[in-house]
Amino acid sequence: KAQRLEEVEVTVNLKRQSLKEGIKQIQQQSAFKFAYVAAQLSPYDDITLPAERRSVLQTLNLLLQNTALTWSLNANTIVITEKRAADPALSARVITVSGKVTDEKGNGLPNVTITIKNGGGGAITDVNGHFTIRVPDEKTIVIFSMIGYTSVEIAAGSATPLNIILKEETRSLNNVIVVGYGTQKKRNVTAAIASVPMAEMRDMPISNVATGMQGKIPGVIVQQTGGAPGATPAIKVRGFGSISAGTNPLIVVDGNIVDASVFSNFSSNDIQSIDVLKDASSTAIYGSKGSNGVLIVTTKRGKSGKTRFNADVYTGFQDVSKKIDVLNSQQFAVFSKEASNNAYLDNVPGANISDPNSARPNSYLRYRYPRGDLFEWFNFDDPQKVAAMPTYDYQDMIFRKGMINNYQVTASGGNDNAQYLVTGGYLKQDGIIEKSALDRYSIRANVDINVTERFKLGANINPVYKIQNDVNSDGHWAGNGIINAALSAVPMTPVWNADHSAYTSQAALATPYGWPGITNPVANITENPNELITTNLLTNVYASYQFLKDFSYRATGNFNVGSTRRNAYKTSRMPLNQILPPTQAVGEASSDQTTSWLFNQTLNYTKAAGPHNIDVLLGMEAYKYQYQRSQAIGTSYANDVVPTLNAAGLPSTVSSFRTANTSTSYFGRATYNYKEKYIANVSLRADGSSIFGSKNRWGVFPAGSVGWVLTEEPFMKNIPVISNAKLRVSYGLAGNNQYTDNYPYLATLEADNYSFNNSLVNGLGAASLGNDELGWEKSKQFDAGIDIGFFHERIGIGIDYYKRNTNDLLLAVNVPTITGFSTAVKNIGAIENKGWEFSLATRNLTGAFTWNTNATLSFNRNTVVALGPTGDPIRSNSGVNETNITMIGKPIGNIYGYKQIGIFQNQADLDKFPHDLTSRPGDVKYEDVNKDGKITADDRTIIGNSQPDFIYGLTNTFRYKNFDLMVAIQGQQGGQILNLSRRFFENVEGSANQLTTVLNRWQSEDKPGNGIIPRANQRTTGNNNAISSRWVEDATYLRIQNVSIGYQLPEKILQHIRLQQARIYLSAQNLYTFTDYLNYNPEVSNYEGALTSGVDYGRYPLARTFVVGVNIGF
Amino acid sequence: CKKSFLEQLPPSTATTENFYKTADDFKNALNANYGSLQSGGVFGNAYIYGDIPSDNNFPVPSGSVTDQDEFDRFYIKTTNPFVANRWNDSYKAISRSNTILSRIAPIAMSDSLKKRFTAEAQFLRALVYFNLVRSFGDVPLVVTEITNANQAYEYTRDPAASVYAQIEADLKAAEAALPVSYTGGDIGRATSGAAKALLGKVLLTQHKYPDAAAKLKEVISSGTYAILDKYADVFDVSKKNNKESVFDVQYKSGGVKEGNPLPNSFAPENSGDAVVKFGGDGNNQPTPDMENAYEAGDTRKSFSMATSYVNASGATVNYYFVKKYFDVPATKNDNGNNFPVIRYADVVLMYAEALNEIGYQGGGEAFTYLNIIRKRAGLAEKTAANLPDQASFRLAIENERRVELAFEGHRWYDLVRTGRAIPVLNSKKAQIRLVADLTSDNLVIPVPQSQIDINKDKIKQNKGY
Repeated sequence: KAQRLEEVEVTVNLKRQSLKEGIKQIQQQSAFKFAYVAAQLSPYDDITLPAERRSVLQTLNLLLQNTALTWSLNANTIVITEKRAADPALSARVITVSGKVTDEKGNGLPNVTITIKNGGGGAITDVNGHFTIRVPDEKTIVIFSMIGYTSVEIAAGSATPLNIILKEETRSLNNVIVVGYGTQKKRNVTAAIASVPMAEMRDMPISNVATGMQGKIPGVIVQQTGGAPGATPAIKVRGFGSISAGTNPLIVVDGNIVDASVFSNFSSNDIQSIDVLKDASSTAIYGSKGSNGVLIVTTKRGKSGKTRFNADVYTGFQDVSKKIDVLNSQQFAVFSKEASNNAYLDNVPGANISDPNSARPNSYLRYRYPRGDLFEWFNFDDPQKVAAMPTYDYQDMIFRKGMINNYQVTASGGNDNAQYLVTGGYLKQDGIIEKSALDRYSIRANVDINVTERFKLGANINPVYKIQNDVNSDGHWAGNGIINAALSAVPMTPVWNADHSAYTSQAALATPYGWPGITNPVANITENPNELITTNLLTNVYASYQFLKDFSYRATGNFNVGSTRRNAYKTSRMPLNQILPPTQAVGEASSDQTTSWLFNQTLNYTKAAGPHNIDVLLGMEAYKYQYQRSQAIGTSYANDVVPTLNAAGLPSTVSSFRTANTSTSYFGRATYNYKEKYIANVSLRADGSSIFGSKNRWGVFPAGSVGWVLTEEPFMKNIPVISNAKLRVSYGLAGNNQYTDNYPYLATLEADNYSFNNSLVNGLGAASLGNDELGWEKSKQFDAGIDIGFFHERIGIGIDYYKRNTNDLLLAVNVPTITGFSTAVKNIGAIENKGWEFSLATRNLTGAFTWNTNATLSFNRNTVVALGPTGDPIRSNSGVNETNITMIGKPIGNIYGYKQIGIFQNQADLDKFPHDLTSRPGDVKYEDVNKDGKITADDRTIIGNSQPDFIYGLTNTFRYKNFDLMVAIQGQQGGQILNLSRRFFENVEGSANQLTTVLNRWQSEDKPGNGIIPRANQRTTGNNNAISSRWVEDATYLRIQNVSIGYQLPEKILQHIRLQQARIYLSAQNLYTFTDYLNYNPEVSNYEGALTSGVDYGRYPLARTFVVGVNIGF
Repeated sequence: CKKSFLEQLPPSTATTENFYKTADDFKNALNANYGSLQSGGVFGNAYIYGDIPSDNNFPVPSGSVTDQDEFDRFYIKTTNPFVANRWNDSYKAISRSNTILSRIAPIAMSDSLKKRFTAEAQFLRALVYFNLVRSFGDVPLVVTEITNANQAYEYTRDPAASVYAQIEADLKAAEAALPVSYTGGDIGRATSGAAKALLGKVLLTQHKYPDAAAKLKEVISSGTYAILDKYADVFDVSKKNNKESVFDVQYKSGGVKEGNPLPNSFAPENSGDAVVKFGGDGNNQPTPDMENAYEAGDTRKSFSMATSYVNASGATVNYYFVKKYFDVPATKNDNGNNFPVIRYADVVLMYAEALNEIGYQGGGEAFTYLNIIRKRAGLAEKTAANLPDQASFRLAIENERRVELAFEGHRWYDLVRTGRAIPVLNSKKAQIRLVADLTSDNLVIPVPQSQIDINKDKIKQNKGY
């Protein structure tokens, strides 16, 4: 029974008030009864006890310290009596212990509760964390505890002074979780909400905070699709919730609705918490915008206390995490010659491979190969010349070791009237591709003012200035894409011409052989400076007022403005597709501006009446988003001296563009709990959005959830192993209005100009079909979850099952083009996402050597339920036509194409199987899926899907004395990628460099290769390079995400150098990825979007980062 | 107040709500209808549909992308993007005509203008349907604006004969209402002569020889058109819309996105500024067979094509390319050449063809018109002695059209019209690398797979695909 006294928590708040008042407060909040003699209590009428959630035991000890009273428990009644006359022997041994309690950073912690383990007194720390307590002897165990921190038990005499460090406890049940328009205690949460363990991100050298979330939250997929400095990953909560209306979660930073790119403006140090709202009961309060989940980011704010300074600095380098194996010059010569000869033999009757180039037709067909006819050294027939050819490693030329440096200084503090935090940061990151770089300057300042006890004001201002050097890393080499050019350029192509006066390209070698003029990977970097300057300002002000005891009102105004400026210039020294320099210089100057404002006001009623706890919220919100862009492109530069457009003779493109959307909302939420045992939560939101047609502009989104804390039931008390168990069920409706277009319901016109006899005339033609019934995409979600803690929360397990059905999908449906349009936007179709999420947090060792583990595991299954007016599949284009298909009964966005079943070995083989009209032995054998005896477009079938079987993350942290170690891994099992880049470097064409996989090509019946790669052929036959299973690869990977080792400087040294705390660490990010994937990064998706996911067409690779960092508090 | 807050209109896009109301709106709509002629599937890439399949041209060699090769060698996949372009771009153009024709009646504007706008839209619709029916055979005949996509699922492929009937009806209406010529900023719009010439071609294609001859004769007798003295002048960018131009797709250079891409498209790959500024893509390369189709002394040959060029470093590069369209642009693909849809030379040769089909007449009127064209090319006139019968005259016309109208997108349709496609191409099977003998299935291209996939019940594929 005494245990209950420790477990039941109450909040007692006394300011020079009486002991009786304190006891009354305990009575109100618990089921305990009290028995006492009123006269014995009446002298104690000037007690101060700051409000804090404490156990009844702790509270009693605090209330009765310095009194002549003591307590005892009789059944459910706490009896307060006068102490017996002091035992002289005991009192003789009373000693005084004092010291300081700090957090891990060395900041003094006020209001820490200190109790003597076996009863008999207590104390709390002052504003600087100092305390004094009287104990019977040195061996007395005292307990230091505070909400949100792990308690410490220690013998009173173990040190003088007794300095205690409390570690932040990340998974305490008493932690507060941020929910829409408020907070809830984790204990009372009935929705599927998870908090990102920020502590696991503190050492990660990442320029985009979102990348650190990979694997940390069950049900949240974070995909690093590109590795450019600051690149924002793709974030999806619980699968693809939409087909074309956007699958990004709503991101709310301190109340501002922002874009995911905001994560590139923060360091993880800036962020107090990131809470992920996953189920309908938590997201429906965001109504229209919530159906893809909500990420609520709360930045750090000041706390009262003396001013604290913190400095975080790290420095290190990055390099490319992988290189791709391509042919060297000698391998290429053999391969290319074979490709030319095969094409020649195929196409010219009576041809012989010994025929010299001069005997081979010179026009149109690619029969010729280098035989010393253009350059003496360039001769594939002469083994000596071949051996002497240089191999240029273009990957070495485009990649580099890039420095990364980060500096951040924070000052925070305040008093009871005002608290503040000011931080300034500078990040400089050199990308792993030459010239790519990011410089980021950021300031964040916030202040909270208690004007009166009831009236509070606050403001937050966060300007960020970024200078980014972009490089054209992705895309086709013909568009000067760096990576594809580096991997495709034939390995003997020099970067410079003979006297180093100009860049050359493959075009210089290619002409007589009909090869494409692959651009120069190095010039693609150096001759294309492209600077993007981003200025971003997030601001937020609020005022809150408490009235009539239980009511509070809060008004919040947010204003964001973001602008970018791009200055780009492609010099005349740049070799272009098929063209050697001097080429046409192109300059660009463009800028855009995004502004959004959001205003909301909420009225809150909170009442705790005995066992009943009620919380009601009513609110309204208005939001406006505006975007505008202007762009000018100029050509006809006289020279490369001045890159700005004033030097361009001809502005070839000048354009500007504006768009906007607005929404208005009304919402309410009520939560109720009975003794924190039975919990219910209902919410309703009505949203109007300018994005929809007049007939369906408003949507209503209700949701509800219930929770049952089993461990509060008497029958569970007999199972001491289980320290906490809660069942949760929720159901609700949320909406989605993230459509790519802000005016999808309107029939719009497009300009299609013309000229008559050299005079320009304006033309306007219909561009889309209107639909004034266009309305909300709605998703219904059911969620059931259980949270269980064992052995006093040493083991915590969370399991969730969800099923989300999204209906009325906003879809640009393919329509017959005889309408004049290829698509029309409609609310049509339905998809279902269901899945399981598991999280596990264990404190494996808690002694001097501590070892904690956090693990997550998530499964999501996605099925298309209905589509379009006819239910016909949607075929989608990515880098080329029709790479993906979405059909009923299957997951969204399957990879679509022919299924390769081998290579035709000989004529007999060809005669046996259906094949393309042009197929020959050595060409690809496709499956005749529809068994009609022909290989046609109808034989294309599903050949993969990018969605994984499951994703997982595992973080182990270890601590011994002053050392700590963290190892985080993360990965995905299953899922496929269409490695479309292999169209460039595995097309077996002989005019561009290839992956070394082509060494296993079919050469003859006797040298059949691996049975997958077809023969080399300059003129592809047999439809070999159609989208097929040949280029579909397994996306499974396991990544060592981060390993970091830290060392906390001991107190003695700190005192010597006058620091409050200091920690140095080494951290390796993205250390190694285990995968069979042939391209750089198995997470890549160039065409991010539900319909075309999982297509890799060349993307900036991920970096591996090593840094050393230091973290100082003073 | 709240209501207007949620009513946002796009600042940068016009909407149909307030459009199609005034004469000016219809003028703009009609301009866009002309603008759609420039799209790839209509006339922008005419060479893909009219030249590449013939014996005149090879596509640019592209190892792994066979889209053009499929047209050249007749193994066209139903998913070929040029097939989809032909269908989709054509119907987009047709829908623009239909929108104008469906909405213009109640609009307040001068009668003459309304008549002219209507006739122009009818002409454009007929022109595009003529492309469609020749490419695909039977096609859905859509002649009213479709405002709800659901209506579109009801259309099936109408017989080619119905499509031709609609084309004839549109052109007859157009020729009656269109002016003979325009002035100033209207030059380049459809004229009655253009409608008549096109109608003549449509009739000829249907082998309605007397009707065709009569209609073409009207064009000739009108005196509006003439054969220029110099072949080169016909294509001279500074002499656009000359007497020989009956109907052109108009282009304009000068950085207003109205430039013609063909000069850059046809110049050799890797040629830099040696042939035309800003390099080439090597499309539509003349075949050696085409080179040999020119008689000795034909002045048109060196103007229309080349077999080599001298590169920047002074070396001669052997390369067959079309040089008929040439203009030095200030930026790539911004050339000023028009693309000729109907030239007077075409009218003259069609007239000769129709006359000969009606009945061979040694040294008759057909000879006169054939020789007008030969004379300008610096070639000897043909006489009854050279061409003693109808069959030999046919071949003479066939070859004259081949070289006179080379690389203007005519050859393949000429061969199909005269029933010569199969014998001519099969006789050169190895030379032009056919994958198999041509059959009648190859005379039309497949319906785009996407349009069958979307409406499987109503839209069926052509035989052989």
